[in-house]
Parts: sequence; structure tokens; C-alpha cells
Amino acid sequence: MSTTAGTPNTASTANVSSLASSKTIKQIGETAWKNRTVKINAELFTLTYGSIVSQLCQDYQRDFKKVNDQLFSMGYNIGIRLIEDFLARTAIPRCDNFVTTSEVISKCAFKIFLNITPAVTNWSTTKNSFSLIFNENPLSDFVELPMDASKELWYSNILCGVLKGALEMVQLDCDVYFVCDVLRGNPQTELKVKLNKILKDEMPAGED
Amino acid sequence: MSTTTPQKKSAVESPEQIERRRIVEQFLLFQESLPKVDALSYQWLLNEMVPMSMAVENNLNQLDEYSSLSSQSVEPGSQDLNEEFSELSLNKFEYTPSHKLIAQLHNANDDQKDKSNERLFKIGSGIGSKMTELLIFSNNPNLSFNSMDALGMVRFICKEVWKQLYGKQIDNLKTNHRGVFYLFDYEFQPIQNFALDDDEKVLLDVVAPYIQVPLGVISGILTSLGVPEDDLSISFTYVDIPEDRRKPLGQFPKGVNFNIQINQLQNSQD
Amino acid sequence: MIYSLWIFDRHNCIFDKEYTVNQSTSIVNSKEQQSRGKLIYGMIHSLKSMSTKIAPGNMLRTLTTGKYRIHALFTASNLWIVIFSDLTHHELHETLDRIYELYLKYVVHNMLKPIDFKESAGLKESKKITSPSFIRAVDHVLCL
Repeated sequence: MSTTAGTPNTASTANVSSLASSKTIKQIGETAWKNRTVKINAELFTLTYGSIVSQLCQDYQRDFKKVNDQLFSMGYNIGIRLIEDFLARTAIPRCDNFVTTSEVISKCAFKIFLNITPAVTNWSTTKNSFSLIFNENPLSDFVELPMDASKELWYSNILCGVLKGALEMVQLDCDVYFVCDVLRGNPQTELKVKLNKILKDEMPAGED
Repeated sequence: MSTTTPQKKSAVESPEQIERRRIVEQFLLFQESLPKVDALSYQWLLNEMVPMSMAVENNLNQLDEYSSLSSQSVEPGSQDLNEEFSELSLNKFEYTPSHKLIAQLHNANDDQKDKSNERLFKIGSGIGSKMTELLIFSNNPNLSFNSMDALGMVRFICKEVWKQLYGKQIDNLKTNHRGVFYLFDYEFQPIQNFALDDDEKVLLDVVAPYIQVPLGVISGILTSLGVPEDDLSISFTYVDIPEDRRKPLGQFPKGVNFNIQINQLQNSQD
Repeated sequence: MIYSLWIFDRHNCIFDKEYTVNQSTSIVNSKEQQSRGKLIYGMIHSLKSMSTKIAPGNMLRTLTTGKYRIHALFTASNLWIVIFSDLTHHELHETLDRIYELYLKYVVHNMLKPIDFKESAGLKESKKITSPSFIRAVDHVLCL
């Protein structure tokens, strides 16, 4: 992609003052979930994802790093499309800073798609990276990993890919990765989102 | 679901009817109270399986090529190559857009297609067998698995399973009562928005892998309900959409006929 | 009367359709319109950034000239849907929303086709939305 780097300070110009309060963001998410969402049982979602992961573990002969990569790129492909569903349902404009972005991800995006609101925390001092803490996660509820997998597999890695893809479509180049996961015996499930750069909006190529 | 329709017509209900209605209502309330996610998230997950399956195929082939390369190589520099390669696969994420993967699958050789289809079928069958468990323990008053014959199982697929997976039931069920069932879905939901500019034949061919997952689901459900895998054969054909179900816009041009054959039943009739 | 519809993604114009009084001559994704598309993009881009500079959160929505009214919808993913109409149409927000929905249905949810036209500008692949169903559905929304 022929995109040029900008600094996080030259954040996009499109910004709506109504987004400033996190209460509004929460409301947008809740309203969309309540009124504009067809719902299915989370169990079905869990077991379907489980079938995918277990097939991948078999295909890659328990090389869990490869499974992680595959889940990530699967998520990326979903993310770059799913972002449009999200924007259509919420009509949320570009966020004017990364803090707002984090609120939108947690209180709107996760609320609407998975009906959870992971806590936003662990901000870096420069406010360009934060963590999402998952107390619940419909991808992995009731899942237990075998010993070998619990060392290397990031079971819910598809989420990282989805976020990566979706954020890129709103011009945010980020690294997204799991730091720890209760499935691995860690005390909590933590996902890190780190902003690398804000991609500049392109102007259409002007050959003539 | 015809069986759950509350009978409001009759003014007087027998105690049994009242009790039954109470149980059904309770069940629905309980279902309502279960954790939910967005149906669209689920659809994305279902639909991304097909390109993913091709991506796996690509990766496995790459690995094969690489391992044959490294085993042949006796050059002293081969160690470096090895390290370089593993570093690449660690840090750089391979990205091929979904539509390209789907096109690759369409143009793949038979062996790759078979492997990819098998993968999708297996994922489907995993979903199916777990769904059986889930639905058995759901205490749905409309379902009784104890006395379920083949027709009952197929009906269960047409109604409960399809409803859960695709938000709609199978449109039409035909059977010869000797182990052959045709399940017609005139608007198979995952593919409804799929279209190509090419002619229809190409479109149908490209979309075919998407039907491996539900075929697997059907197989998974039936085997987990006790039908021996060897007696089961499942396939599909595209069918024309009946006149009264056709829509002017936004509909996939064909319906899908899921064909289930349970051999045991066929033989027992002979 | 609707004069034309333009859709831009974050790289380029991905759809344009011109409507004329005589419908039979309506033109889709025409080559001749390429330079015009760039002009429109440039104009809207300038006005858009100007309006947000005047007041934060102040989004460009419609723009009226002597003979035209321009209606625009912008998303955070930098998708622009732009309709040129005559002055009888005061606002077309609903129509724009419906066209966005069609974009979702026929482009975003059609996994057989690209979502990002730039990256998939292969040999055969078009850089525009070519789906006949999309075009028909758009015509339907624009009441033609």
C-alpha cells in the first residue's frame, strides 16, 4: 500500500464533538446492540470457533505458531470487511485521538459484535498503546487447552487479526497481540494494541 | 415451527395443554437469557472458513516444498537459509485477500480441492457433533432424542439445527421413506450476497466449497445421534428456485438440495 | 432528477453512474468520466477539510450551486458516496444511507469480489464495482 507516515499528532481532521464523552460512545454501542443486532447463542459461536481451531491444530500438526498466524490472517481478512458493518451501524466518525479509539473498540465494537466490553487499561505514557482485559470471551468460554497447546497457542488470536484489519481501514497502523491468556494459566486475558502510525489519506493518483 | 405455535383459538385449555405451554414458555425464556453474540460476527466466521482452508493448503504446500528443499540441500550455507526462513514466518504475516484465496481454490488441482473440501467438511462435522450435545442438553420440550428415528433426526436438522446456524429453516423436505432425504434450501444464507460478473456456471463452481461446511454439519449431527458413518452418504446439487420464492434482486440464483442417504435403512427395507 | 452517483474508496473512484433524461443512455463507470471524477474528488476533499476547519465536527453534507445540489456521505473508512441532483432534492441522507447498505450487501459481503480495489488490480480484475445486481439495486433506490 502506498501510504505515507504521519505522526500521531496530525490525527485525522474528521472529528465530531459528540464523541468526546465516553458515555456517548457507550450509548451508541448499547443502542446498536439492542436495536440493530440479530443475535445468536454465544455457545454456537464458541463451538464453531473451537472446531476451526482444532482443525487447524491438526492441519499444522500441532505447530501452534503456525496456527496463531493462520488465525491472525483469517481475522485480518474478516476485519477489513467487518469494519464497514460497524461503521454502517454506528455512523461513528474518525476518532480524533487514540484514547477515543480505545473507547470505541471496547464499548462499541466489542459490545456490538460479541456483547462484551473489555476493560481498557495499561496506557503507555505516550498514549499510543493500551491493553484490553477480557473478563469474558465468547471465543473461549469453557475451553481448556491441552498441555502442549497451553504453552504456545494464542487461542483467540483471530481477534488480533480482526482488530488489525479493521483499524487499518480507518488509517490506524497498529500492532495487535495477546500478552497473556487465562487459557495458558495466566491470571487474566490481556490483548495489547499498539499504534505504529496514522496512515495518511490518499489523494487519487493524478497522472494528468 | 409448527409444533410450538400456541393454540390461542380454543377458549378452554386442558391442564396438560396449560402445563405444556408453561414449559415451552419457560424454555423460550431460558433461551432468551443465554449469552448472545451478533449473528453477523458468526456469519463472518462461517464465511471466512473457505478462504482460510485454501490458505492452509497453500501454507502446507509451501512447507512441503521447503522441507524437500532443505533435505536435499547439502551446502554449508543451508543452516542460514533455515534460520532466515523461520524468522520470516515468525514476524511477517502472510496476507492474501479472501476473494483471491477463493479464486485460487477454484483454480486449484483436484488434490488440493479434495483436501480443502475435506478440511471444511471436518470443521462442519465438528460443529455438528457439538451442536447435538448442546441441543440435547438444552431441555427443549419439542425435542425428544430417545425415540428419534431417521426422519426425526432429519427433521431436527431441518428445523433446530438450520435455525441456529442460518437463522432460517430448510424450505422443503422430501423423502422416499427408505433412507433417502432431500433437503431444499432455496436461500442458503451464507452465499446469498455472492456474485461474479462471469456466467452462472463459474459462480456455482466457485461457491461449491461453501456447501462443504453444512454437509459436514449434517454428517456430524447424524453420526453423533448414532448413525454409523459408513452407512451415510451426503452430497448436494444446485436446484432452481421455485417461481413463488424468487426475488427480483439480491438472491443467489440457485437453491441448494442437500441429499442425505442412510444405507442401513435402505437395506432393511429390501 | 438525479444526475449522477459517485463512490470513492480510500484510493480512487470505484463507481460512477451518470443518469440522463433518456435513461437508455445512462453510463456506468465510463472512461471519459475519469478526469471528472478526480475533479469532483478534489473539490469535495477541499470543501470537506475546510468545513471541519471552520468548526470541529462540522461535516460537509450538501452543497448547492446554481443548477446542482451535491449530497455526500463520508465514513471513517474514507468511503464517499456522492450524488449530484437538481435543486428539487433538498436532502438525500436516506438515499445515501440506502446506497451504503447496498455497498455493504453487494461489495463488502460478496466474498468472491475484492473489497479493496487497488490491491486487487490484477490483469483481469476491474478496479470498479461492476456487479450487475449492485447497479440494478442502485437504480432501484434512485427510483429509475
